[in-house]
Amino acid sequence: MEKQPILRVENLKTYFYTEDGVVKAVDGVTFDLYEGETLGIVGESGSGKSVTSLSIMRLLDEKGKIVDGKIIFKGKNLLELSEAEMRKIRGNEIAMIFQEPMVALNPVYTIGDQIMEAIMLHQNVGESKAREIAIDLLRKVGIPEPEKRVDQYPHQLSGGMRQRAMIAMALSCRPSILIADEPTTALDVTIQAQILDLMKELQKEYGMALIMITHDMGVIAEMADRVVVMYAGRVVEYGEVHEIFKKPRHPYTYGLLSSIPRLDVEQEKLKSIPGTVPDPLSFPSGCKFHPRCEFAQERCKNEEPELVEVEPGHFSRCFFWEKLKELEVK
Amino acid sequence: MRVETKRTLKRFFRNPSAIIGVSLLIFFTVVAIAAPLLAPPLNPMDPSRKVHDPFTMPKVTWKQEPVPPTSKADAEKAFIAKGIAKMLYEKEKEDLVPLALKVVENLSSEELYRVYAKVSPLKSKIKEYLKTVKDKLKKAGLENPDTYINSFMTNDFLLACKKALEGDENFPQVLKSLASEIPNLRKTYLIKIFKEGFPYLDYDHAISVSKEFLKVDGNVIDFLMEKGYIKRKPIRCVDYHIFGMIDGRDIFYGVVWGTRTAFRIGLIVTFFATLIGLFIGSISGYYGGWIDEVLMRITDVFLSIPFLVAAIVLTTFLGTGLDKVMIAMVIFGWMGTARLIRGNILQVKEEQFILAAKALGVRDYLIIMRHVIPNTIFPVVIQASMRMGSLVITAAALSFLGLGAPTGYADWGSLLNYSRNWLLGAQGDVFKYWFALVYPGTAMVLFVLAWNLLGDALRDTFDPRLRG
Ligand SMILES: Nc1ncnc2c1ncn2[C@@H]1O[C@H](COP(=O)(O)OP(=O)(O)OP(=O)(O)O)[C@@H](O)[C@H]1O
Ligand SMILES: [Mg+2]
Repeated sequence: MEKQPILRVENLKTYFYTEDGVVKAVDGVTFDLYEGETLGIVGESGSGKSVTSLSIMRLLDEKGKIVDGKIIFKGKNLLELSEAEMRKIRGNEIAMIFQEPMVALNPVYTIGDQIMEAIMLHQNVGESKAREIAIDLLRKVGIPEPEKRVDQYPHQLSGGMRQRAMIAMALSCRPSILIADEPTTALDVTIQAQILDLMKELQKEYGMALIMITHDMGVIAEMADRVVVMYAGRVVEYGEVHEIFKKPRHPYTYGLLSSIPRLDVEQEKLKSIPGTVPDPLSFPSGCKFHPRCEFAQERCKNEEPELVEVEPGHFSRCFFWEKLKELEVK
Repeated sequence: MRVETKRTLKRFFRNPSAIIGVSLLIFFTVVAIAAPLLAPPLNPMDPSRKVHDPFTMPKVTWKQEPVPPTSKADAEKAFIAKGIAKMLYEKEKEDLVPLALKVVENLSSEELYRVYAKVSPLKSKIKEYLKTVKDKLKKAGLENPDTYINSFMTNDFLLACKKALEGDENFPQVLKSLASEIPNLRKTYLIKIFKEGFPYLDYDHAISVSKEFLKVDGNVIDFLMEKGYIKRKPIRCVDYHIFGMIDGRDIFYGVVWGTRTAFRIGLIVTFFATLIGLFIGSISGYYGGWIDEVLMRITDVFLSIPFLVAAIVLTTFLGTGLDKVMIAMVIFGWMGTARLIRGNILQVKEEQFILAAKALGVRDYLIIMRHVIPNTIFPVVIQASMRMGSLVITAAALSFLGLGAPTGYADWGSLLNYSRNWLLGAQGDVFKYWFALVYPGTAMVLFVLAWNLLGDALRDTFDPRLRG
């Protein structure tokens, strides 16, 4: 069956016009998101993951401009909506949770105040009803004694608890898409796992699509149905999670995967990708990954590869993706 | 009450500067509220009439004493009485007592009694004395003592006593004691009686009258009166004006009603300046871009104009007066707040909870009102409270330049402005007029101090950046 994507990002280009020059933070990103699925966006720091999500929400600061592309949500191009129409989408249709639960809640209001704000904004309910809904939501996200917690301030809650409260806030209007920008990075491992479980559960319950942004391949393996691998503002690989994990077709993905510790295979040393993410103001010519790529050839320096479909539904931006195939056989 | 609120209050009142500041402010507030009780806005020349504007300090002019004397005897009486009163007013000179006694003897008993009765603290003493006299007279067998008592202070009284007691065996002793007692009483209370019974006699008038009727030597008059001198010079008279007088005005009255003026200047100017600053600063900080650029350049322009020059220029357009000065202080007083709030907003704007609120679809103005302002407002509140005090000083400086409160306005600055001429005291007595400076000055210093302490305490307690 051929499903219609609920969200389609097409050739998105978001540039920042800074004093030092133009930062091409997102440069031609394309992906689809289907109803109820989880799409992972993975990549190193600075690869443009957050900018992609902020572009979808149209929440870039004044320096950031979406210079090209389309963001089609339920048939409408979000980039053509007025600010007022966009506000109705935010929170109501597409919600977002952030990396730092410590700072994503306003310190001067109670948890309840903030969840109620979101509820009353989009649903036509009074204060006492909103409070009831807020308490229910807190219970649903697994906060013990929600009647008490609802009146507490963010600083009285632990990090995991705050992230749960953030999730409650984001879910308050039953959005059809939830964008989670590194929701667990700031939390410790056990709490990370709990939050991820919670999100999975809630996703199932609410039937919403989830965009999971992370730089942690482990989180992707746990959560995602399909994966977008980003590098320097571009999608370098895109496909089903099993495909990508089993048959990576881009050296960058390959590098990311081999830097995960594995217990089933004996490893002498963890591999890491040499070098660092290039300076966004002066990207290398040709393939942006070539200075760090162990398979780089002369061609990579001069010519930038296209995103090619290596297998149905599996795309890679590499001239030599077949080499990786050979590597795998070996 | 919420636990959090309780805890904050506790933290606030543990702070010594909060306690001092708040107590001082409560004190000033009480004084301001109770001003009509502490210093009734009555015409001092005629306490049955109210002054029409309590903020214009009633002035004793010495021109309104009624009924010019018509006979030579009256003129003489008035002249002597007033002259003595004035002398006593400045200094309790013992050697004037005989002269005063002469006046007393010349006044009719009714006049005297009126003077005595007017002086409330003395009333009971006089009554007491009258009672003893009455008793003595009764003891002496007098039938109807009251008629005599009415003229108890005069020679008539002594004569009456003498007549009435004639034939009594105790007469010599009674007469003796009475005769010795009456002058004693007079001596003791004379000074008070003059001060309180005739506080504002028209000396100028007395001079002209006395010249006309008495043909008195000019030197004597000068010695007694020094024309025009009493009008401006600070007068210390603890019984009648506890803080003294300056320029014919009661310093206590000025200090009490000046509290209201101080609060009015502080509250109104701070409120409007903060409002304007908040508006411009938050728009500038929140929207950024060219709006920010334009607003901040305007702010810079306002900042680059020296305040005093601006105030002088503005008052040439608007005219002088306290309200005009307040307008000037608002127009040139919002920039600090604007910059402060802009800086804070720039900082808070980067906070993730703002982005989170935007991601929930909250409107811009709601984000400013609900999320930005509450996180940036405390430094502004603190600054405003510190500003409250210093504004009073600025207003005083403008009054000093003649731009501010009109002459005679109940304002600490104006009071200090009067005392400027007397700062050096009198020859040989540097501290002679200290009261003219110290009372209004102390009020002003304490007021400024109170607001600064409050601001400090607020900052220690509430500034989110200092909160542990
Ligand atoms: N407001 C901004 N102004 C200028 N440049 C920006 C801005 N926001 C992001 N960038 C640039 O865009 C690029 C992509 O940033 P982005 O935040 O999307 O990275 P990321 O993939 O989310 O990284 P991380 O894992 O650290 O969150 C970076 O090079 C960054 O410098
Ligand atoms: Mg990011």
